[in-house]
Amino acid sequence: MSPVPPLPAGLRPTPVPPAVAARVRAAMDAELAAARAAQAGRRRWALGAASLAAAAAALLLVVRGAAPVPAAPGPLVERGSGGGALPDVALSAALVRDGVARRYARGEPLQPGDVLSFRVALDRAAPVRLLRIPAGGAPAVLHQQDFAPGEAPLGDPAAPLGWAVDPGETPALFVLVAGPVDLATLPVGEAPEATCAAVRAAGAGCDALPTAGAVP
Amino acid sequence: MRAVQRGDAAAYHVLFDRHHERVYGFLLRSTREPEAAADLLQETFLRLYRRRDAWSEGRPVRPWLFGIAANAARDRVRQLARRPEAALPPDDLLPALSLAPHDRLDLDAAIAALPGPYRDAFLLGVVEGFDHTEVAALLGISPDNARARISRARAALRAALGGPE
Repeated sequence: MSPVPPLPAGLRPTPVPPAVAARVRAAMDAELAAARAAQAGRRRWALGAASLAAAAAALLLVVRGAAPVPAAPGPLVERGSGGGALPDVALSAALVRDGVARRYARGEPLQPGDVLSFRVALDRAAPVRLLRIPAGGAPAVLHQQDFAPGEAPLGDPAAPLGWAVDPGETPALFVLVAGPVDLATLPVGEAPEATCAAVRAAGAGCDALPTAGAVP
Repeated sequence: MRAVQRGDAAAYHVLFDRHHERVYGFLLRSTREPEAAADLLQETFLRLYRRRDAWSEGRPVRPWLFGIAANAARDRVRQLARRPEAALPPDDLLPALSLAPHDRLDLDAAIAALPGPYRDAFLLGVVEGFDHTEVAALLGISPDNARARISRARAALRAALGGPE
């Protein structure tokens, strides 16, 4: 490994602003996800395996056009370690368009071929689920995993998740649920605030990311 | 870097952790614009990944990474058409640096006052510790030119900061 020389005397360190580092990391994750989505060809959901046992066997699991996994009616078996308080969770996304990665702004219109990758910040260990709720539709579980406290891309560290946008894709809400909740009780077609309010009322942490439909 | 070539996200982030502060420092001092430095930092690490197959076993990562950063910074300059290479003064004509009185003891301010090509050569050769051959390769100039730029930049800084000629 190349050694990094110390700064010459008289020069001030130039710390990278945390927001800049976070932005670059998100772009890097999006770049990885885009590369994986490209490798997957027409496979739509580049999905890191949720368990160590499965990780060795499969990096890309769900194919374009396949039906998402239906939302399970019951709660997850594991619970977060936060006691009575709800997990504090934040969901963000990076967008790769024409090979250029940047932070995705909530509600921003998408184009066919765009790839979204997701990043989660969580204040405690908890099982998390990423849902996609299309406008007027029922929630579908895209991914679930046990998540450690801190901030990291969603999915296997070696295979971050990437969502490739299809032509004609409708507006949808991506919802990150941290903790147990019965998804059948979630409202359909509601704003992010109402959806997350329902999740929190059911005892889980929540953050939601609205996306506009795909512009042809 | 081998793991990055395989698409290992964790290795990619380790590479970022290890180098991003110095790359950002170089870009910030080179561009003198925090927003531009942030954009170029992102561009540098994305280019690294897109060009990962160009890296070969045994090639030092750090000079390669700074080469990508320097290229990204040069591309930006070309796009802005602010600092054409033709405008570079001959070595003998490097003007005295003009510093405000309160900057007389400020090395950062003095570096910022250097003309761009001298500044980049100084940053890479002195601040980042690359040798003349490496600086030449990173900037796309001859080793003699790299040596001359670093030497002239040193002299200009010494004069500006009140050190011995």
